[in-house]
Amino acid sequence: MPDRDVVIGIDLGTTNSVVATVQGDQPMVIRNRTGQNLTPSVVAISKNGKQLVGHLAKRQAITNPEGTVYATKRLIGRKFSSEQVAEALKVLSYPVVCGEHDDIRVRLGGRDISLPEISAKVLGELKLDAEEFFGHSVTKAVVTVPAYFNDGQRQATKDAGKIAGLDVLRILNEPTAAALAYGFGKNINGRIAIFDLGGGTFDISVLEISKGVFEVIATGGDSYLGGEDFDHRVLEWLVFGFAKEHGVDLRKDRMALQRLKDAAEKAKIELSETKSASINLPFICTPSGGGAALHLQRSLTREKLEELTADLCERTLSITTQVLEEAKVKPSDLKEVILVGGMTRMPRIAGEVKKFFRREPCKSVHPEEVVGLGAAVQAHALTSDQAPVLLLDVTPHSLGVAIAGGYARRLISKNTTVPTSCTEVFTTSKDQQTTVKIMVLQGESEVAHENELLGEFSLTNLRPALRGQVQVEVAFDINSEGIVSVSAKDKETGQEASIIITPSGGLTEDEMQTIMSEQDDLIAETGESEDTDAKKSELSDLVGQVEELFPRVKQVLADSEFGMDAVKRVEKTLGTARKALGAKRVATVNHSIEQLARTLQLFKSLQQRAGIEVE
Amino acid sequence: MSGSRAEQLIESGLWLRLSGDLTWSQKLFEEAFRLDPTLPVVKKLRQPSNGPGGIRSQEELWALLPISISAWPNPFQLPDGSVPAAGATENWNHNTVWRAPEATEPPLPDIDVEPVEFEEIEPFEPLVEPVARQAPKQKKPRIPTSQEELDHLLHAAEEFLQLEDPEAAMDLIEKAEKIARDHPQLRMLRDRGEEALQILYESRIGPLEAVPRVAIRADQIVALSLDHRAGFVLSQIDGGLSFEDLFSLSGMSRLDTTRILAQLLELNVISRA
Repeated sequence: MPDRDVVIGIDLGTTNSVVATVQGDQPMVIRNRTGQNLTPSVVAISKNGKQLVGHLAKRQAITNPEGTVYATKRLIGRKFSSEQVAEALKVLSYPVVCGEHDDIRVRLGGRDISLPEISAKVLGELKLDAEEFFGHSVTKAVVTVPAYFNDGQRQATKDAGKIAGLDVLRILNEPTAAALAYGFGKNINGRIAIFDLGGGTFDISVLEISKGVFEVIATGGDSYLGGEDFDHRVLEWLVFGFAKEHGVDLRKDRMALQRLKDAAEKAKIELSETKSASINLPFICTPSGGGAALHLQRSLTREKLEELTADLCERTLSITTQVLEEAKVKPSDLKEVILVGGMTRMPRIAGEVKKFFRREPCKSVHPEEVVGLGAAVQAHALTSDQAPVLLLDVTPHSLGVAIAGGYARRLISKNTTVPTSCTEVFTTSKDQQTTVKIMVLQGESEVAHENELLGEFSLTNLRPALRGQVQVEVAFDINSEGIVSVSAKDKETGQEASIIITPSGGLTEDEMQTIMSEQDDLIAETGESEDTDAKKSELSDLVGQVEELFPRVKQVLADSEFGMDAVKRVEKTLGTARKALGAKRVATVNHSIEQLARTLQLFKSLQQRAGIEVE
Repeated sequence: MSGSRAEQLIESGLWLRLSGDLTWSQKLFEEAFRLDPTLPVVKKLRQPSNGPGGIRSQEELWALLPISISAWPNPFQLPDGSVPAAGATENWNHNTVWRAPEATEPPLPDIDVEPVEFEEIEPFEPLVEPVARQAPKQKKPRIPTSQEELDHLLHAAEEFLQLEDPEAAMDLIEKAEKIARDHPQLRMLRDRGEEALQILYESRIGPLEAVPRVAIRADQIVALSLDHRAGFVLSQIDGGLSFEDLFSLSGMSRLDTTRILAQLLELNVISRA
């Protein structure tokens, strides 16, 4: 009997994503339908108009740059006008436009698509993989995000889950997930470091684990440093070598570039296990003047790879030094160091981390899978009574208000468990001031404008008086859903103004509704899913059973307290169920299943009471 | 019908020969011969121009192109509808004289000419124009206009499509596009040609959900003669992707990808799993 309430854990990564579950108390990765543990977080509309997600999309990314969307995690939940987005736009190969509310839209296949929709396609793929694994539909998930994600980014991730048909029960910080995968929290309390060098980003985090609370006490990194940079170094080495030998610049040919990129990544991965890797790319290009196509054949040693990427490795360590210094954490304060991300398989990286922290890092769990596995552990904890660790929801960033002089006053510190509330009294800062403007900020900076403005409102008609004489009480309240309410009250008059801030991922409620209904239409258009087929089979069995019993219990039913009305209702239910066998939507079929199951139960109890023999 | 098509192909071939395309004109003559081996002129045209019995000069070729061949009766047809024996015509050229037996020679209808012996008469002229008994004029070779060349290429391409040889048709279409890329008929022909080619290649590939595998060793691959596009498609074949998947990631048109895959299968470089 399958567990219908299964909750899956998902690591929605910048370059790769992982879906995992817990089986027999052991977390495990669910392989995708092509048999691989990692699914590239890449979505494309191929040149022949087909939607691709995952490996296929990645493999045509260079030959179809305008139609391939990748690394949307760097942009999700951000404002189009933000500095980070301006930076990202410089390197993106796909067209990005500004949405109606300063949100980001990707132009793909002639449509402007929101980033949650793009992420939803990756999540949808992982959902399908999980459904194939379990043999039934999966609708609940725990999804991980970087520790530095703000409310908007977290909400956008939740929206992506919703669009994909997943109820995201919990958004989990990636370093926390990594710690959970190692079972920390039950056997280790104290400070640990998570060194996460993935495909596209580098993050270093320090967690303080205490009584089920995983507090991120330091986090930092570089959103543009990852395995792809290492691949690029190998690619450049191949390109320059070929140019020297044949006088041909392979970067001008997209097909050659795609092959070089794939070969560079493959060689890099191979060199984590071996000392030398052969790169053979026959017929890589045809010379412009004609003639036979040229072959690329080279051998790359581990030593050469380390030489080519030495500065990248050093960058990770200098960022780590900086983050630890800012958090006033010494390597010797740490109880463990966890390696996360495929790049930490590179012996040079693992060696440098060991040297830096002066301890052997934890690497017994596959570094590419550790975050996904941790998400699965948390997902299991949410559904199991014997859960080892149940995390508390915390605010990821501090909340406060802007005060005179352009500073920020923190009222709720980050990592405070929710629900929570806090009150503080402020005074007017100017003589004869009759209005105060409350600007609600999120972030860690002392300077107001360096934080994110969540919302603002004004309290007017204050008594004109000298500065500091009128007192305004500001109250923050965060409920368990993460909704922030802020109110300001004139202590003298009791006059009050307030604002409710619901986290927004960039899409309005109306837009979400539209997208969801489009999804429904798409499902209807694409026809019956495998799940619908399975449900129809179940419904067909039930129809058969009810039809068989109905003639025998009909008279008993008519004579019972339910009377002829009940007979009519059964006939109607049967009629509806027969029609539902031709329905396209699983919800329609489910509805009939529920009705018929109740009818069958009623029939069986009537049978027993009336002593009708059961065959 | 074959006879008529063969004549059209001869005419198109003559135009191509005159425009300097020996390869394709030869191909058209071969096709014409396949359709109607009884046409004596085709035997002559099949001979290499530098070989014995081959047509060497442009003048000889022009002499064969006065009008649309499809309008001609077979010049070698006997008045009773029979054809002369092969030996009687095999060395035919425009100076050759063939005498019909006088006893069976009927008057030519609708043409005001006296019965004549066919000496010195260019064989393709007399039946459409009154022939004055004058000294034959020396025909000056003329350069075909682009429009004429285009018309003949379109005509031949159309013919090849009807003959279910889209590869030959597409080659001619490409030649025609060099003359008038935006010609509406040409665009239609290209669409039809590409559609027919796609069907042809897909029929060679077989089920598109099948998974191809590389059938030869890496060292054998290097010894092949492939271009970089075929090299790219070959590099994507990993034993996991279907033909249909390969269309999505090749970065080329479906037609180009299908063509390459069909060629790789034909060369036994790849096989269906």
